Amino acid sequence: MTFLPVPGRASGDLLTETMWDRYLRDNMNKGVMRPIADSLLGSSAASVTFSSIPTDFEALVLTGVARSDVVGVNQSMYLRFNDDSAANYDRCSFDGVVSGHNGAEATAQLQLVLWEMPGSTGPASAFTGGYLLVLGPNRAAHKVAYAQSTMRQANGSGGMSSTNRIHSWRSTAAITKMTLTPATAVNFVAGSRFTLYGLGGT
Amino acid sequence: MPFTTVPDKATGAVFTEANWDTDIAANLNTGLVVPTARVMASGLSQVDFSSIPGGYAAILLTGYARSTQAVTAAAMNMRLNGDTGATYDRCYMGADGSVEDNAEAFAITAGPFASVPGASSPADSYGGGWMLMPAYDQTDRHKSWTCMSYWKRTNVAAGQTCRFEAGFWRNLAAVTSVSPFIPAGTFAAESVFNLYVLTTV
Repeated sequence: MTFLPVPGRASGDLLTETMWDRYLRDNMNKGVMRPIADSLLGSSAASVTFSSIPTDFEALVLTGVARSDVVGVNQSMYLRFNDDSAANYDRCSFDGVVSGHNGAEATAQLQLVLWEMPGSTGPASAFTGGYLLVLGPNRAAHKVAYAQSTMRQANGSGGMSSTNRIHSWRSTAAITKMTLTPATAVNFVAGSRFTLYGLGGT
Repeated sequence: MPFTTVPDKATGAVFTEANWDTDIAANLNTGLVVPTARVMASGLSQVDFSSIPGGYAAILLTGYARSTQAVTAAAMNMRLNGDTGATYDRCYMGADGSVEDNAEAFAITAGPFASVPGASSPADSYGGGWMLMPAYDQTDRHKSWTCMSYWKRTNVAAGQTCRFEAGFWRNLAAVTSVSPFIPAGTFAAESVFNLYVLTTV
């Protein structure tokens, strides 16, 4: 999680082990923003899991596009940290559609309600797109996760929505695992993709 | 501070000084999303990121924090270049519990960043937010930024606030320092702030 500024080198200088280990290996692996894992679904899947997440980043960033095969126009997407299925998730949100917007909250939930995504009767080829920024993923206090997404569940008026949701996870454990699932026992469709990044510090 | 595309090398090619200085050192130091400063803020009431270099596309500030003040929540505003004049504006939307909340303010003496839980909020509850400011070093325009913030006062209904906000600074100067602060108390033990610069090509 520590980025070390890289010094210049003179012509003829040797590339030492220290130069490699400290300035290249460590900076690349955990000093800058870099991808940790990527999951592009070649076929439908009931869940996507990122495990063994390194704990030495200052922030985690998840980006993704997704669609559910639920019979319906849309469905929520769930996220759990470290397999925690207890009532440890809080949420405050401000979501909008053309007809209005809605401020809401929920406390002591069993999972984080991350994004909304189109279902099987939504427009063909429409996927939700969103991101999640987790601050303090390795701090010994409750985590905070900032998320936004956009969805098109119909091609007419009222068919698009945006979600702006901020979450708290009541755990002092470092985040080492993230599991994404549709809200009911259905699947993410093929072509859904999630990428997890780590953001280093100095 | 652009990113320089790293060239291909042939088998047996010499690893030159320029390969190191341009392709590795310069790209790592100034060509990526680079963390420029990190502050563990325990015991502080203000964090100062100073000597911010110009030449990047944007700066990104993250704050994960809690206040020791005996309140459920405290505002955490920020000042740019130490400016305490009435030169800041703000506009936000969000939710306070399940109640929608939006407002604006003009000619205020600090810019918006976030708010944090206080010592009277649930144990281990942290808040704060992030701020993204493009064109922070341009000298022909006022500065603007967007930020998101969250804080929790209690673990029951009407205990949370989320805010999606825009801030403005009526000043043409390049931003060289950013200082988030809380009005009383200090930041709690796990509080940490990071400043990043985003490069261009």
